[in-house]
Amino acid sequence: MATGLKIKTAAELRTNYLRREMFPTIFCDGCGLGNVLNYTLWAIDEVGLDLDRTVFVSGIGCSSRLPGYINADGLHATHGRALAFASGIRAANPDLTVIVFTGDGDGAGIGGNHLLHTIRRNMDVTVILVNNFTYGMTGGQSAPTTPDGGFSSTTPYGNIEHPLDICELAKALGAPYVARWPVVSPAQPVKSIAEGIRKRGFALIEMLTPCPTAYGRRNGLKEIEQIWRWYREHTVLLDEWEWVEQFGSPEEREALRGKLKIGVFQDTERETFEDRWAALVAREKL
Amino acid sequence: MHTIQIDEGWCKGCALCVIYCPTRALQVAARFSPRGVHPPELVRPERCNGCRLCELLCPDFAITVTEEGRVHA
Ligand SMILES: Cc1ncc(C[n+]2csc(CCOP(=O)(O)OP(=O)(O)O)c2C)c(N)n1
Ligand code: SF4
Ligand code: SF4
Ligand code: SF4
Ligand SMILES: [Mg+2]
Repeated sequence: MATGLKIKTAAELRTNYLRREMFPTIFCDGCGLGNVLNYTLWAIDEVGLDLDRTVFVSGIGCSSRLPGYINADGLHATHGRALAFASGIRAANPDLTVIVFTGDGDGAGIGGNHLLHTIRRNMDVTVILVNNFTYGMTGGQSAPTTPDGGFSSTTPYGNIEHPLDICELAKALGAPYVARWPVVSPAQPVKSIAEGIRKRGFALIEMLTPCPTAYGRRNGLKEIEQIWRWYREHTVLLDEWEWVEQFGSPEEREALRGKLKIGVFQDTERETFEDRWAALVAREKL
Repeated sequence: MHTIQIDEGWCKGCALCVIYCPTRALQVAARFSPRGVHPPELVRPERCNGCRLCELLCPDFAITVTEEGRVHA
């Protein structure tokens, strides 16, 4: 557990934050989406967010069901459009904290264009993007994130497209906070989500999340223990990754292929949409 | 001594808590819960060190670890 984290129990989180009548969740056994919810609540508690001043926004997908479980105002918007709705909320009322739950399909596939422009504008929203390599809710079509060679209902012979690295994209667009973590260990995601919420400007936390049902089943990772282990074995911390790239043997470098880099990739400051809007209003005396 | 409380209405019997318990204090129960799944049970309470990893990793907020002293105090 990260130092400084206050101890909370599942029973406390349930009482303080959840819509108990919505439980148990619709998520399959072994799905990591419940963990994303759990870690987000830990982070919210850590930051001390007032849920009456917080809005949760999502699009469509299994991951986009998450706001429905939290006892706060939320918008279950249209597929791919979560960030457009989130931007509208922030622009209309900058006093509200806006947290977006989206999927790799919702946020980076159909909603990819909104992702670009919301980061470009530097809207002050925290985006928790669940990457499970697939369109889970609709039965496992390939997503922009499906790994090279990955099997899905639309790539029955293996995916031939290059997968999108969402964090690299967000970094290149100047997002002030960008991180990626697998759900299989709790401490780093909790810390990163808290940092993302505290960050002024756009924060992206990509959560690598097992989907045994729609993705695992087609890729030899149907069993819960097996797919969870895959995430431990196929993720490499940023520092280690860079060390291997620089100093590693050819075999060590080769071993990075097919693995995913995890860590905090960007943590900077940048003028937000709000900052610039306020300056414009003052200058033009609007 | 620690004890675990399972909300059997929420537990899906995924066994992630059992798999990741570092001291192997938990086990999948042979009996069925009212939801029709096998919940976890603390079969070796003397091994449980109260690390609460089971609780943090449960996707369904179904397991809570408590210190026995506190519950009965
Ligand atoms: C405009 C529109 N197109 C397609 C769909 C069907 N649809 C529902 S969810 C989904 C994919 C969701 O994928 P992702 O965001 O990765 O969520 P996951 O279920 O994997 O968490 C699609 C294509 C829709 N609801 N609306
Ligand atoms: S289909 Fe996949 S993402 Fe959706 S609830 Fe099941 S395991 Fe989770
Ligand atoms: S991790 Fe949670 S839902 Fe899964 S078996 Fe354990 S208590 Fe039940
Ligand atoms: S608190 Fe730690 S040691 Fe005790 S049952 Fe849970 S995971 Fe195992
Ligand atoms: Mg998905």
